[in-house]
Amino acid sequence: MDVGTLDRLMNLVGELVLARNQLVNAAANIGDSALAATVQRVNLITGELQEGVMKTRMQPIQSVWSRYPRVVRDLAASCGKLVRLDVEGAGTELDRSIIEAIADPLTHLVRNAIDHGIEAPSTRLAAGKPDTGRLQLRAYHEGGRVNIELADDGAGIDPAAVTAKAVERGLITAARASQLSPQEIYNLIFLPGFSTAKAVSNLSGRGVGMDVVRTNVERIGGSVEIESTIGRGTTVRIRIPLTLAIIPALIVGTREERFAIPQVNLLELLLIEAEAVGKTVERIHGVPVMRLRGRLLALVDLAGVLGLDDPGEEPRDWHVVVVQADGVQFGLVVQDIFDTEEIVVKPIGRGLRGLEVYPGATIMGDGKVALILDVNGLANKAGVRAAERQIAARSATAAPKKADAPRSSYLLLRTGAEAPMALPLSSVDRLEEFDSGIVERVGGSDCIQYRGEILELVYLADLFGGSREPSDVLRVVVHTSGEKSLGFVVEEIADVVEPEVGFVRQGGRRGVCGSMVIQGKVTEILDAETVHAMANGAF
Amino acid sequence: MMDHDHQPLHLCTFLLDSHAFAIAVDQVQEVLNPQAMTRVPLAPPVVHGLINLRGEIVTAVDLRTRLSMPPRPAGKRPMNVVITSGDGPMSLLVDDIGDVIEVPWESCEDPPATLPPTLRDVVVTVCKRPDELLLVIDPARVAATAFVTSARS
Repeated sequence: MDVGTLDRLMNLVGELVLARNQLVNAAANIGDSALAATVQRVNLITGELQEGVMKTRMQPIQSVWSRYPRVVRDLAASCGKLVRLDVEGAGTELDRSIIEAIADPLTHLVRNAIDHGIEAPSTRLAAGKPDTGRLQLRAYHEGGRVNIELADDGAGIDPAAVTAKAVERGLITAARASQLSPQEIYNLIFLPGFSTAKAVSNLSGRGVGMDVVRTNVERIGGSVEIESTIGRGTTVRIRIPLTLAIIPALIVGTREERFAIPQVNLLELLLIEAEAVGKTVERIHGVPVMRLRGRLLALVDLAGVLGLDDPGEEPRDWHVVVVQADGVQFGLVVQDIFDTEEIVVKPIGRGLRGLEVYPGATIMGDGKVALILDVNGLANKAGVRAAERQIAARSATAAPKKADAPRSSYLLLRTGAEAPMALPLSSVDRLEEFDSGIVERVGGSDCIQYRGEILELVYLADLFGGSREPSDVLRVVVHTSGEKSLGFVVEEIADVVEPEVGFVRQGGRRGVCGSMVIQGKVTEILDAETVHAMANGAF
Repeated sequence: MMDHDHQPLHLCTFLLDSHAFAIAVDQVQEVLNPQAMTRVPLAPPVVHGLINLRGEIVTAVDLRTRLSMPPRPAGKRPMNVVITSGDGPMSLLVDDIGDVIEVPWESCEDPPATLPPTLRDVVVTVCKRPDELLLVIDPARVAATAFVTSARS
């Protein structure tokens, strides 16, 4: 189909989504049940139409990859290396605009891998590897996003060489360099002004560094991670959203204005009550910070950064939106937190884009315009310094998802059995406490009415052994898999921990993905997805 | 503007601080009543805000600020003259909209060189009307210089 027609259709659907939002708002105010039913139908149809039109914009990633066999062959030949390219998941589909945006960064990574990663055939043979290097491109869907991996079996990245270079370039101090974890060291590669190539070669190391790759990927709401083992190779993983046109965002308010913060930048929301502000918020030379799970979190007042007038120091609650971008983690202080919404991203005038704080704007349910905030740009405006970002970002940038990532956070639980269990924090949606009186028994399982839906409860004690003590309060961990949410009922939510040591044992009984030593006790780590499946089997 | 093709000029007139201005009708996309405005923090002062024009987001530039005129009295909501620029539509905020008039091109002249620079940047023609002088603005120049000027000031 013609590209212009697609864009036009996309715009119209965007309009429809906005009109739908307005309609839903209006119907809620009127409160007529017949109207509500019709609106509900319009709502559903709009959703499906939106999905359908989005699909027409999807293109297989093959359209970028198709040129790589030639690129790889030519590059390998020109630097006297033997490289085989393996491609997996070329049919993975992405929005056209995203495919365009990642083409250049990806090509740069391919060049890098051949130029710096894969060794010359003689070096490879000497190291006991086959003379032909292997470059693997992989694309796959994961949790509503697309992962693109570029793996080589080359020399790997030498952390010592990276830190030495960073110190030499004045990017970090020697003292600091000695404290960095491998992941933090790899992140140094993304700093502007960094290049490990000993000499500028024909292919890469011409100033278009990894910082540009990361900037380009982050501009479309993605992230880049590096994993590397010396002598075994390097894997670069890019995670990007499926589409840019309609994104989930959190709507916040400050000084009568509303702003949208893209969900991809959100880590968590905190509320500091007015009377606790004095105690929780500390100041370093006037700069507000707070302690969040043992780490300092810089606080940035949104109104202050944006130069909105201050209405005076009246005591009020602080809403802190913990955000992350470009390796920076900081707390954005706003006056109000509204809802999360699917927003349609609309372009704004070029002059305003030049401010580098607003990538676009959207139209809210009431027809008014709200600006979208670029967390990266805000960080720059607020002066969160580049070198410190890397350090501050530690746990945030360290491979967030993988089940065996040792530095992830875990929710420590007591399920009724003697031994504690833990759940990766990434698989926790919300923690709730319910009065046990509101539990209803339907079709042999316990349910509660929760946020307009029915939440089925699963007692972890039933699945993993232990006794269910009768209690007036139900402590529930809400987990969502796909469309469906489940409430895991536990005896006690003990703590949030960030174990220094990873798994001492992988695997275990069904529903458990391994064991760790947490607070001196062997703790089974639950695999939420499997528990979900086990529970579903029970229903 | 001063193309001497002997066709009369059609002008959309408006008022700014009781002074008469105009824009050629063929350069005006539409004229709107006062709109709900979202202000843009950190933007240059000429940018009064953003409006929702049937789903399109349009930057509203205050012509009073652009022409270094005193700010609009409080409570007076501006009218929107929407023009098309290279960067999509842009709304120029004015005090009041006047009539669309037809003027013979003979009554038009280049603006005098002694006009203050902020006016000379954007005023392309002066129309000699029986009771007043009408300053004709080139919207393309307003759009092109909106952000440049504010950076300078």
